[in-house]
Amino acid sequence: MNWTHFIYFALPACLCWAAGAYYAWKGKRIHAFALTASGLAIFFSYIAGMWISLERPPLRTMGETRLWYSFFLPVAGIIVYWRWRYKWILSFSTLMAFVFTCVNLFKPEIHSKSLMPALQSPWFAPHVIVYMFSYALLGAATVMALYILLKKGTATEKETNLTDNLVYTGTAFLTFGMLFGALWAKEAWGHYWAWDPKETWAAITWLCYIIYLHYRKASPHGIRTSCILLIWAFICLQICWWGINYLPSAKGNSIHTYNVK
Amino acid sequence: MWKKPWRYREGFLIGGGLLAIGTILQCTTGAVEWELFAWPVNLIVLLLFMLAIAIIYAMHKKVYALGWMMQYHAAIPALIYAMALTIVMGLTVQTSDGGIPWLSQMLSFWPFVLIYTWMTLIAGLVTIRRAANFKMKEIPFLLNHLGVFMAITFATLGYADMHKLKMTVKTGTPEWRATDDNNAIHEPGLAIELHKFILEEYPPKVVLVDNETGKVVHSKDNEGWDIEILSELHDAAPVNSEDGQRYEHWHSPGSTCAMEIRARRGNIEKKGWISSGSFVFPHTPMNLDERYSLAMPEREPKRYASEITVYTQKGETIKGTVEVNKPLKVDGWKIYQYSYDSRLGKWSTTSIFELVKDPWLPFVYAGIYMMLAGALCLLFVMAPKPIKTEN
Repeated sequence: MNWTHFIYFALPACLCWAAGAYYAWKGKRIHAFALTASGLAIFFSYIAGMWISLERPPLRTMGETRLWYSFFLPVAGIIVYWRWRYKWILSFSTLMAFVFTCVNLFKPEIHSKSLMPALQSPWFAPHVIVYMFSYALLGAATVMALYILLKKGTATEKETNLTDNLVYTGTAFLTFGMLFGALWAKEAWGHYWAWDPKETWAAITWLCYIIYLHYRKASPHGIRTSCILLIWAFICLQICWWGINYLPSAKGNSIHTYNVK
Repeated sequence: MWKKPWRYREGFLIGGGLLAIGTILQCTTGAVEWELFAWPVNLIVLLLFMLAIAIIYAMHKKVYALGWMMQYHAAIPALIYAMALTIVMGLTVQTSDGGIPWLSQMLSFWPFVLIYTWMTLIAGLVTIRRAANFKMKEIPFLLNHLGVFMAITFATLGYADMHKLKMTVKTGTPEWRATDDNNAIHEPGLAIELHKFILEEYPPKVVLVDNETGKVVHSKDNEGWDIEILSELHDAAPVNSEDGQRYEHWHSPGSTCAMEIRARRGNIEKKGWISSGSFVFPHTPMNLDERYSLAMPEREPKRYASEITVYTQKGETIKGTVEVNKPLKVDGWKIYQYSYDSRLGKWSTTSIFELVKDPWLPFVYAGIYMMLAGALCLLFVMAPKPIKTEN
C-alpha cells in the first residue's frame, strides 16, 4: 500500500460521508450513522494498510498527520451528531475532511519508510493521535464560534452548550497530547520540557483554551468575547501545528522537525 | 477604578504593575539567575511561597484584595499576560546569550518570571480554598489546579538542582569523568565501560540525481530509466579491475555499502556500481546520461545503542544496553545515548552519553499525573451535560 492507492480509499470514503451528511439533512439518522461509519471504516483501512506497509505508524510527515485529521473530523462529527442531533454537523465534518483529503491527493509529499531512532517509542502513536483528535474537535468548536459570531451575533443555550462541550473535550485531549509529549521527552531527550519552539507554542495554545474555559465560567454572557477567544486560540493552534515551520524564530531551532525532513 | 467589586480591569492593572516592577528589576539587578536557587535556597523559597499562600488564605476574608485574588477576575488577566509573554517568547529566537536584549532569554526575564509566579500563586490559592472546604465534587478542580501548581513550582525551583553531564566513552576504557555545558569536569560517582557500540541502518536506497544541481529527482518512472539491482553488498570495498571499478565483500572498519546496478532506457543500457561511501572510501555515483546519475544516499540510522557496564561507588556492577528512547537508570542518574563518532558511523568505537539527575522529578511527575487525571475529569465530569432536543 502506498500513496498512489490513496485515491481508491479516499473517494469512496468521502462519498459515504457526503451521503451520510445528506441523510442527516433529511433526518434519516440510521442512514447517516451507517454511511458515515462505513466511510470511516474505508478510510481507516487505508491508514491501517499504510501502517503495515510502512512498518511504522503513519504519523511522521505533515501528510500523514493530515490523514489522521481527515479521519478524526467525521469521528468528531458523528459524536456531535449523536449527542446534539445537529443536522449540519456532518456536512461540515465531511467538507473539512474532504479539503484535507484533497491536500493529500494533490500535494503528496515524499514519504519514506524510515523512522529515526528518536521517534521509535511507544509514546509516538498516542502523542500524535490524541493531538490530531483534539485538533479536530477544536476545529469544530472554531466553526461554531465563527457561525455564532458572524451569522447570528448571539447564541442559544444549546449552541453554547455544544461549543463548550467541544472545547472541554478538545482541551482534555490537548492536555493528554502535551503531557504525553513531556513524559516522552524525558525518555528521549533527558528533560520533560525544554521550551523548544514547538513546546512553547503548545503551551500558548493550551493557555488560550484554559483562558476560554475560565472566561466561560466567569462571564457566561460574554458570547462575543468567548467566540473571539476561540478563533484566536485556533490561530495559535495552527502556528503550533505547522506555522512554526515558517516562523523565523523557530526555523532551525526546533528539534520537532521530523515532519519537514 | 479600584472601586469594589474589582473586576477584570483591576486584574489587568495588577498584571501591568508586575510587568513594570519586572522591568525595573531587570534594569537594576539584571536577569534572574536561576543557579542561585540551588539547594537549599529552593527549599527555603518553596517554604516561603507556601507560607505566603497560607497567610493570604488566612487573611482573605479580612483584606479585600486578598480575597479577590481567588476570583476569575484575577485569574483570567494573569493567564492572558502569561499567554502574551509566551507568544513573545515564541516569536523571538531563544539563545543562551546574545539575540534581542531581554526577550531572547525570556526564562530569566523578570516580567515573565513575575507573571508566571503570579499565575501560579493564584492556582495555589484557589487550591487551598477548595481544599479547606473539601467535598468529593471538588476533586476534579483540585487535580487540575494542584497539578498545574506542582508541575510549575517544582520544575522551576528544581531546575538549579538538575545535573546534566556528557560522558565520552571509548571501547575498552572505563570512564568516570564527565563534562558540563561549560566543559568543566565532574565526577558523577559512577564509571561506564563501553563494550560495543551498535548502529543499525535502514536498507540502502537508490536515487536519481540531477547532474547539474546535485539534487534528488523525485519521479515515478525514473525519467524512463528501468533500474535493476544486480547485487547488494553491505560491507564492501572498491577493487580496480580491467573492466573498471567493482566492489567486493570486505568486512573491516571503513567498509561501505555498494550495489551493482543495470539501468535501461530504450536501447541504452548502463551497468555499474554505486556506493554510499564511508570515512575511507568516497561516495560513488553512476552516470546515466548528460542529465541524470544514480546515487546511494548515506544510509539512515535505524537504531543506535551501546552495550555498557556501569560501576557505582557502592560497588554495584550493572550491565545494560542504552539506546535512544531507552535510558538506563543507575543510582539516581539516567544515562542516555546521546551521540557517537558520526564520522566513523557504524564503525564508531566511541559513544557519548548524557547523564541526567533531577532530584525534584518525582514532584513534577506527581503534578503531571494529577493534570492527566484532571484532564480525564474534564472529559467525563466537568464538561457540561449535552442539551438534546429534536430539531
